[in-house]
Amino acid sequence: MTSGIDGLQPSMEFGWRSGLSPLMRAGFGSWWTTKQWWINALLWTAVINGSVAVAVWGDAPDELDAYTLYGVMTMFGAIAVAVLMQDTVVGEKLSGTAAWVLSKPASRSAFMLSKLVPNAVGVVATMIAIPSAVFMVQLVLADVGVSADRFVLGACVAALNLMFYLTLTLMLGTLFDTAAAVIAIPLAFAFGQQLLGGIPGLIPLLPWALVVPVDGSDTSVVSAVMTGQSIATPGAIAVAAFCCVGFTIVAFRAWSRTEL
Amino acid sequence: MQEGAGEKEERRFRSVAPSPALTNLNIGPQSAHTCSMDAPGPPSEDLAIRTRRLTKTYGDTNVVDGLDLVVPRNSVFGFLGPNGAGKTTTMKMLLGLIRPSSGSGSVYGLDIVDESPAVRRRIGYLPQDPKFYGHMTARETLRFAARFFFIGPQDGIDLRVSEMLELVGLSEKDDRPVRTFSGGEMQRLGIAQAQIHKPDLLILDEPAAALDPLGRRDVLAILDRLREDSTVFYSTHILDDVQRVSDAVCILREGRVAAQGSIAEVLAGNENTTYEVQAHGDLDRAKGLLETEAWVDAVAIEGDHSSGTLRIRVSDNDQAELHLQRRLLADESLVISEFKQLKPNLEDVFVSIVEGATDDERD
Repeated sequence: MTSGIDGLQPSMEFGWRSGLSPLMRAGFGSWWTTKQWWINALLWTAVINGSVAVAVWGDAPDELDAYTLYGVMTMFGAIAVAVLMQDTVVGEKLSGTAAWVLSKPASRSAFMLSKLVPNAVGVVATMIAIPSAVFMVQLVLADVGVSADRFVLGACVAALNLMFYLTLTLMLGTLFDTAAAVIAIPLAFAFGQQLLGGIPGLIPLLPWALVVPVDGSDTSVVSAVMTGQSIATPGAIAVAAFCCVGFTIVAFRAWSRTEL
Repeated sequence: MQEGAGEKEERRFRSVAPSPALTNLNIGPQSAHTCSMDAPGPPSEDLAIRTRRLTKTYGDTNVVDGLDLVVPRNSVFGFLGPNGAGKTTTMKMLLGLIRPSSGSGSVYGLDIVDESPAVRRRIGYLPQDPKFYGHMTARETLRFAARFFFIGPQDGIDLRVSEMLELVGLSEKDDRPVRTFSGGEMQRLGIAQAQIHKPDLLILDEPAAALDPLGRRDVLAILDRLREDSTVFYSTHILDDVQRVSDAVCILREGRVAAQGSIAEVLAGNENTTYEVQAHGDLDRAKGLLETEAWVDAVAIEGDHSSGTLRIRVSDNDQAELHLQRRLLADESLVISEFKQLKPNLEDVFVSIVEGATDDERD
């Protein structure tokens, strides 16, 4: 009987970092070693840039409309994030892969980080960064004056909107045992925000206001940041950021107590 | 771990004599067929697994109820019980996947709650229905599992992965995505990943469940080989396999230990011994006479009532050994051609324990 473990160096990851390296590698691998990244990149580049092209190259080119349309189109990306992420935790809970992974010396925190970080990077890269880069190329080709700093900052706001739905879906995955609940709540929230317009002062604080003009304003937070205008609904940034952090904390805590 | 196919074929299973490790432990006949709530025994560090009053409650139901489990090092330990007896829940508590409601447990002296990551470094686990990441190939799955334990060198990890693929007969399917694997192939891959770091303790939840007879034979051969380096703690419903390869067993019933010890001890602890007597004569009269004895549990006649077989189940074998033959020979109408005590097998013991519980519930 031979044994290939002689001479192997044992892993020195302990505590919350236990198992982090292989889990992160697998998490990033699920995006970048499969067709998932280029399908999403192609899809969202086409969806976002196809739409804004009308404003950029149309009969009456309108810089503001292009930026506003860009923000609105990234909202569809947010919905896609909820769809993509719905199975991330629940699927692993139900299939048993989570129990298998956590039967190894892997911490629950490392497991959650491996769901949060690679998916956040994958989503932002394929649904915001790549399509936004192409959008910027369109603007440059159309001779629209673009401030790179403001453009990047605006794209970050759009990414914040995606992160809101990503962390929300991740949290729901730790709290529920069915994919139906995990997908239904973010989708209901995404579309239901428009219905909350009747409550005074509420809608400017919702993530909706990050990408869609609300309360009679001409600009969303994204388009205001990109065009250098004053932001009509700055509270939405703080609320979305606060929610992202809150959802993440709840997800980690719930996961630490989940029985598999 | 590598072994040629021919050598694998010729390997014979070890007899069921208790291992030295087991006979040195205080889990003799007194613990067989008992449910000791505070069982004495050797220090936990001399054992692979030790639980004390381990309990898991869901609502009002105790799925595992005050479990005192004693698993010696380097034993092949069968963990038996009907569906819902608490086997998988117990395994998951040992792995830190489920938190005990009360009681305690240790693996190689390490607490299963407070020192769970250290416990898991020493365990290899095969789930009941193994599922892996579908986009990974078999080789990638084993590499992924190996990296929880080793950081390198990559060549060494790859060598170990190849050994494990060879061990379970998946070398030629190593680059196929796992999602295309059959249930049996998944089970084999599960055994390979559980053994990838050469763990001190293997916890296998029904390792032969999804396998055909050939696959099952191979798994038993693998278990037999693994005992040299590891303790194997496994659950199964295939009791014949348990009797062939295990040193010791624990039979769970409704979350409690109904019997525990070496195979020989558990079999010896079977209260219901059966005798088989082939005879000519008035078998009905012999049956009637025997049924008046307090130590006789049941008598059945197989075959013709003037020439056939009496099957006599006794509740007190000491009394039966003293009196049964005398009672039969006292009946001059009876000509006895064969008299034998049937050796109980594990299945008899298991059925007796499980059906006993059902009868108790009816009463």
